[in-house]
Amino acid sequence: VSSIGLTLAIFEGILRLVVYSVAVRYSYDPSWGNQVTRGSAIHWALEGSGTTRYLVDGEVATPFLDGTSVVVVGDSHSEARQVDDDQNFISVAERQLRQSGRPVDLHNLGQNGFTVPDYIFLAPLLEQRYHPSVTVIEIWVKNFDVANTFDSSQSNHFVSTPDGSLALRHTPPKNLNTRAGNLRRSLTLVDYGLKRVDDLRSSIVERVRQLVRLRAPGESPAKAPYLAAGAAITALEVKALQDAYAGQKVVIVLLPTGPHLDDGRLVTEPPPDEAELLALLQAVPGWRVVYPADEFTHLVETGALPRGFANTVPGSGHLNVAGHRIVGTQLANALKDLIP
Amino acid sequence: VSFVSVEFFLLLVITLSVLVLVPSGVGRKVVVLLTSCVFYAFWDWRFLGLLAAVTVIDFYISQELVAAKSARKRKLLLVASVATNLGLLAVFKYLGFFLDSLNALLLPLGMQLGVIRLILPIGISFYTFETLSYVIDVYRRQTQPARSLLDYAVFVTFFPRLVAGPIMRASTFLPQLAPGIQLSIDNLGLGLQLFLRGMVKKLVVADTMAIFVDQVYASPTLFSSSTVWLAAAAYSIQILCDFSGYTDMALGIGQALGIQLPENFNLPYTSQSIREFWQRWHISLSTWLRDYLYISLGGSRRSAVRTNVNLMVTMLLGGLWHGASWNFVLWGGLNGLYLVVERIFRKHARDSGEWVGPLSWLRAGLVFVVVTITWVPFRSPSYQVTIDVFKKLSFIGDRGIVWLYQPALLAVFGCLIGGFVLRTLQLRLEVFPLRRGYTFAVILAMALLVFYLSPLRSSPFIYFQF
Repeated sequence: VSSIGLTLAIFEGILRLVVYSVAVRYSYDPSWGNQVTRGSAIHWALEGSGTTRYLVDGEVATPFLDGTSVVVVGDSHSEARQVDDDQNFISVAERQLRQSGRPVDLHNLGQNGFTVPDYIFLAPLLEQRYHPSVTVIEIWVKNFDVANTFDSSQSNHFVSTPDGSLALRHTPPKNLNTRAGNLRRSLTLVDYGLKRVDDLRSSIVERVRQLVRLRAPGESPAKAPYLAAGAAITALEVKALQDAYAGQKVVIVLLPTGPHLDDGRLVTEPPPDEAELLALLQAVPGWRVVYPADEFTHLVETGALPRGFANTVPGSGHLNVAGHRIVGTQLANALKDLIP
Repeated sequence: VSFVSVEFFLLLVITLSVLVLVPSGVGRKVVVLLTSCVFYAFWDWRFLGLLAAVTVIDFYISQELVAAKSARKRKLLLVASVATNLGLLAVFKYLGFFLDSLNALLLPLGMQLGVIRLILPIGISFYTFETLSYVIDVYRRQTQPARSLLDYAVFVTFFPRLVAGPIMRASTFLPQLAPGIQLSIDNLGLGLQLFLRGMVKKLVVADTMAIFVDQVYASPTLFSSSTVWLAAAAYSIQILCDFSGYTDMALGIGQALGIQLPENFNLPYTSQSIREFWQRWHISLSTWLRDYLYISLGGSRRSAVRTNVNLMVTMLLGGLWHGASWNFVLWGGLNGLYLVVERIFRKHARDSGEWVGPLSWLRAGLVFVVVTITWVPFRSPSYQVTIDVFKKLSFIGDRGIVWLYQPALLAVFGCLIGGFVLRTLQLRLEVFPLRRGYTFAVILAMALLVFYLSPLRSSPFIYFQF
């Protein structure tokens, strides 16, 4: 028994080092949902390696905590667990703006899994709590993917209305601030173990389905009808975002998906849906769009890619330190024009 | 279906359950034979007939060999068996390759012979060598023929080693089978440890290396020289952990069924010479080539020149055995060349080959570098990629994406230093009886490693393609 206990303890230590350790507590608010409470920290090593601290409830730490309020909403690229919190593009931009004599306080509200419906739902709450001079919305093409934005299992999602427009549906998220949840998150062995069980179950179910010929290998499940109208829906999603932030100064950070490796080839051209999205965003009056595609491509000449880490495939996944530096610099330049 | 698939686990559980219910004797052998056939049929049921034909033909030839009185008839029977086995191997594995090569030569003359594409029956290289060695051993009167067709069929088709070895001699297998398939809790415990050890090597190390190696070999020109060097070294670790991981799993299943299969690897990257490397790498193939090819060619009994020619021929054919491609011929040729050069210089060296501390670490490190460079044509999907990788390794056009994959750095240095330490301390990776208290902790540790640290997608076993 003691040798088994020792084995488990050693493994908990190994997993905290090479997978993650999540010292996170949540506070629950019916409107804001689950907010990471101050003092929490995440050490992440599954992709890249970084420590993310939460010095204020619901916010990833940035170097400065006072000054002109700028709110940044985004998904996992903003939360950026893959790098230390002072290396993500929001911290980079805040530092550069401070160095240029602008006393700004960028509030990093990035959260893993956020998509366009979340940004729309949050708009009035952000205005109420932060009174931002500028709102920065970090997005990439996947945030507009109807498979995510129409996913009814999400707290915020779109539904199609009979007249063809979009309506936002909100259901309060599950309260994560429970004893069982806190206990689960305190042990990586348990938390990551449950995730692995889920992954394993999915792959076994998929394989068994293939074996009994319920579905041919690689064939996707039947798609919902609205998925057929992808491009048209994106225009409606952009319009909904525009309406939600009407009257505010908005900077859009559109993260390029490339350059990336595809079947032994370095792909630098943006995919068609990204070019279409860029055109839609640039057409919105009053919005400034940061799109560092050229800078990302130039980075390749130095032997680096903006995405990927020493423990993942280059060009894949989230932004690395070099990618964050480029985006942060571009964002700072855009904000300099809006903040005197 | 591989050893790390849902289908195989189901097959294994069903087989073990049925074996428990069936009394020891013919019944259990029939169950194992049926399992082997089902396992093989999962790959391609159409080649079961071929496997059965080879088995029956060689069994009856061996019976005739024993009964035959005249030397001439015995020789004819041997030739018939060798011709059948090598003929099948030549047709299925090499005919397309030779026609392609001939067409390339004839192209300037404006002539073409047509193209043949045959599906390679899985495991044919392995079971052909086993049946060949059986008939040759019976011919040489070095082994007794199988007592029954059932025993011989179980030997040829034994599913743990059917598709990728270890290449086993009938003289080692059949005596173990004679008392029947014996099940015991002790054997199950030992087998489980071996199987899990194989899973750790395959799923945690080899499959993680595959993520890196596959990307770099898909387009080496994109990456920097340092990245390509690391990928080449990572492939050395990948192929070792992939193949020795498979072997451990095969050993584990065999152990659970009461059959001990031969070790195929013995810390090969601690070798201090290429000669020693081949005594520690894919041991069952090396000894087969030595016993049935090198010695048959005359071995080292004739002149120095002839010995070197024999070495080159053996290694070239050994390379070709792996696959019908000039890349494998190049790989075998390079290994042959190293052996010849070592042989020439060994005459003048006072080298005992013993492990003597730091000097041995240095020598083994150098041999690892040579072996790593030699794996390049083995891994490359084409001749062009081989050239591209060699250019990068030579720092010609060394610029590109710098990707020093952390798990690869950890695996390369971890495996090398781990091997050197084991060799220095004269230790081996052991399996333990269940009655020892810490055995369960060892089993748990290996299970946790596999569960938590293996990539979600597993690559096919490298040696299954041969």
